Amino acid sequence: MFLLAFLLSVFSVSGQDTVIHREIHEITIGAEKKHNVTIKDNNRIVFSPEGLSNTLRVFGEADPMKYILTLPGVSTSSDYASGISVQGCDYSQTFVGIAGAPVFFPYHLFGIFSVCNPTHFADVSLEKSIHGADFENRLGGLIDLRPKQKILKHLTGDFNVGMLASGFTLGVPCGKKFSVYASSRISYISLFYKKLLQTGRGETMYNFQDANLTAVYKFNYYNKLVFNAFVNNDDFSVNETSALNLNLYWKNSVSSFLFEHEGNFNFNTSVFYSGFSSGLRLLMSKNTVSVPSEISAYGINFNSSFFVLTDKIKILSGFTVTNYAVQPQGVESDFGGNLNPEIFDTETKLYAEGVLFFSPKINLHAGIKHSGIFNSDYCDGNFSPLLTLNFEALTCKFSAHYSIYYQYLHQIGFSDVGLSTNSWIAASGQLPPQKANSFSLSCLKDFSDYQLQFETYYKKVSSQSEFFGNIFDLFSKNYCAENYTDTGNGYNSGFDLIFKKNGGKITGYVGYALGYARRKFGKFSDGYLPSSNEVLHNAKVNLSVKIGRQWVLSSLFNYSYGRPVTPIKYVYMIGEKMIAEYGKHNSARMKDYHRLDFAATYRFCGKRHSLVTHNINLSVLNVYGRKNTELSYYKFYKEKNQIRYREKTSLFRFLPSLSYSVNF
Amino acid sequence: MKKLFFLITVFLSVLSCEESLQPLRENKLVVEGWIESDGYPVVLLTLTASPEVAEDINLADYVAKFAKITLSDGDTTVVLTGSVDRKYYPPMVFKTYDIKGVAGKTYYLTAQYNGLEVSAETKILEPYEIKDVKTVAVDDTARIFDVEIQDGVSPGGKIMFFSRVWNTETRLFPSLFGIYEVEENKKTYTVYHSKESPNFSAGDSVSIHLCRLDDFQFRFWQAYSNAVNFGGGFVISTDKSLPSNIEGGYGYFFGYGTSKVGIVAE
Repeated sequence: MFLLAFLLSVFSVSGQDTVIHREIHEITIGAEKKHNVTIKDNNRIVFSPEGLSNTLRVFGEADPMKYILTLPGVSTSSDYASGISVQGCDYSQTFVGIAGAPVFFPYHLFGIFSVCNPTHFADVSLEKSIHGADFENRLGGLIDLRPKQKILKHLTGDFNVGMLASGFTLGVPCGKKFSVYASSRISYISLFYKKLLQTGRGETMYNFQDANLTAVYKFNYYNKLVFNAFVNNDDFSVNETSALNLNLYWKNSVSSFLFEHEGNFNFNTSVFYSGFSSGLRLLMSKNTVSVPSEISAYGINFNSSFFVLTDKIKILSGFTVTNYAVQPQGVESDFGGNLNPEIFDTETKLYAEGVLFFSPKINLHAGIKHSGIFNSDYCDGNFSPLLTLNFEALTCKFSAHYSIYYQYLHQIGFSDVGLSTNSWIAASGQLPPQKANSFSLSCLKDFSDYQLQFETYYKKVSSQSEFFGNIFDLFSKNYCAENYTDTGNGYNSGFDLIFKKNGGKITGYVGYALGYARRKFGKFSDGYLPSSNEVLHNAKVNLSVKIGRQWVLSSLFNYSYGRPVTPIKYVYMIGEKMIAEYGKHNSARMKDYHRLDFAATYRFCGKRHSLVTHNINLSVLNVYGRKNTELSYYKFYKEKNQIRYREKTSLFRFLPSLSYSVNF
Repeated sequence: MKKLFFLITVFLSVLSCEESLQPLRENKLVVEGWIESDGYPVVLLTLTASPEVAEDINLADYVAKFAKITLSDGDTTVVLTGSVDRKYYPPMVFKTYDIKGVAGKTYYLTAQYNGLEVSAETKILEPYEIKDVKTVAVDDTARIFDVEIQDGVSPGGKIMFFSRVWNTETRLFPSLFGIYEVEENKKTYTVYHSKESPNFSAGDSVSIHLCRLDDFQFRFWQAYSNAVNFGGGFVISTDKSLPSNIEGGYGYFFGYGTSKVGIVAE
């Protein structure tokens, strides 16, 4: 009702052809040089996924989320991990949204690539530690996927044929004010990359589909209405034996209506829905063990901004109300277990932020946010102050930021690599909201085609969750995830450094990140130990060379210090099976990780002056075949009476992919 | 043949009266032992192996061959006799026929080996009776069993099934998903075989033991099943050690209130 009333009032205003007279003294009209990747205020990194099509591709897909992982300070724990950790935060602490609506699990299998169809999105942005007061209730980074919203004059299209999946995006003009973009992808991973799916346990099968739809109606220069929808469906199966099959499935569905008004009083408001359901099924001859979980969120969001006092002060304000329905993870089977009833929670966010422009080179953001969660049994609310000082000195742009962040959702589960089986639960009396006190200081220097960015941060976190249960605990009639979740505190600290070259024939960057992410959980340690997301040293070098008008050669070198792992202290035999006795949680390190990827893109047009462009991309991952360890373990060979050390190395070795794309 | 070779290796090392590898100071004793109601105790004693020592671990080096194991029921204390028994793996087993499991009694175990000493205590609960067993045909050749337990078992009672296929196995093994919390109004529970072979085969002669567990035993077997059936992969990661009731070591020594049945999978 609120939204309807608001929209009606706006339409009624715009329908009156109101003319606003305003005196202006001097204006400067300029155009920003368009780079593939730019660093903007608040250290926000913005890039166009289309601009990535000439660079490195993973399995033929120019995946923006994979690109984000190549930036310093952003990491994932494994080649097969589904998650993005920003400056040591947990995966669930990164907010991923399509036009502001949350996507709870934006990944296809093992994070091979994301659900983000690159040709559907106009730009993707990443905020690491500096956020405005409007930031969602999360502790970590923000990845915002903005679909194309341009009103088209003619039909546009992008078709991509890769070795793992193929997809398209069509932009269809429907009159002068209305355009529709539709995208879809389908996979055939088993055709060329079946080996990637082999778990050594039996036949595997995997399929996914995803689709996006965006419809834009521009009422006039100031007002537009955007509808976004996204859905994906993934299904992975392993036939362990003829009588025991393992099946993983997950599905996101997201939709939103967004109304944007630009003028003296800017505002946007949206209603959104986002649902995520996933499950693990063990299919046996007579019984099925099903471990489902689900979260859905629907809500309303409003943001506004306007200037007061002759443009010296900008006021931003807004609110979000999100209703969650959480189906806690449980077991449905004949062996026991049960599904607990759905839990309904309401999360709120109300904020106001003032930007004081002391001079063109100095401004201060001061804000306050109130966030909270409540349901019939539990209620919690918190105020978060925010201060960001931006100033220019010595031709550098400096930012100093402090804020407190709260997160009212936890993600827990059995998988260390962030698979879809990890489930969401809302904060409760037993599992309080996560909190972070965040300090950061950054420096950005722009000179000609070069950019140098340095960002240092310290984030003190509390009420972090760690699941210590096992799958058999779910069979208990009185299973409650909170009873198997420990809470702890810790800190993330470090710095990110990136030196970019944006223009010319040779572009690219050199990046380095130093990061500590330490946690202390009562049940696991008596001191601070590395979290699974700690990447102590990470160096990245990206180079792209244009040769003539048609060739682009790209390469990316990535080095990471060994990630934390729990060591095996002893092995022993019980019941003719090998059992491991583990040491302190995450108290050892895997071997260092490094690899070099290479890509060559040939770009050509059809006829002269044709709007049709063709791209052929050949990418090779890990060109020197480094055997990066993914898992180390001991295996018992009864016939030899031996227990042997084994390593499972990443299959990302000499891994080629060829793709063809055409756009018009 | 390989089993025989292993057996000979163990035997020769016993005869030679010399350890082929001295256990490292930090190694610990591992007990795998049980005593069922109306049954005799069985104890296997091994040593932990430290992965730092070598990447490949020869298990024959980690059998505690000259251990002294004593068992007491509070009234009688006996020293268990070690012998080679190829029904078990590793095939070095300590037994006695002087103490028999009695429901309601508590048993105390101590084991000493090469300067290491461990102890454990366990109580046998009153067993739940098996009322009926039915073979369920999954297809032409695959079979599982539905076991009906006695009336009057309180909801929340913990049970576990062990099974042994007589023509292919020489000892009892935990049944796949065979750990249950008794539910209200549910008397029939399914018995599968193992993860490697979830179903039994038509014609198999099968022993099924229904063991009543206490809370700790229930937790132990849940953690064990999780580790051996799901551990070491991406889908379900586990880096949690098993709980143990062995003071100073690892493993378990459990007393079970047990009901037994033998059936041919028709």
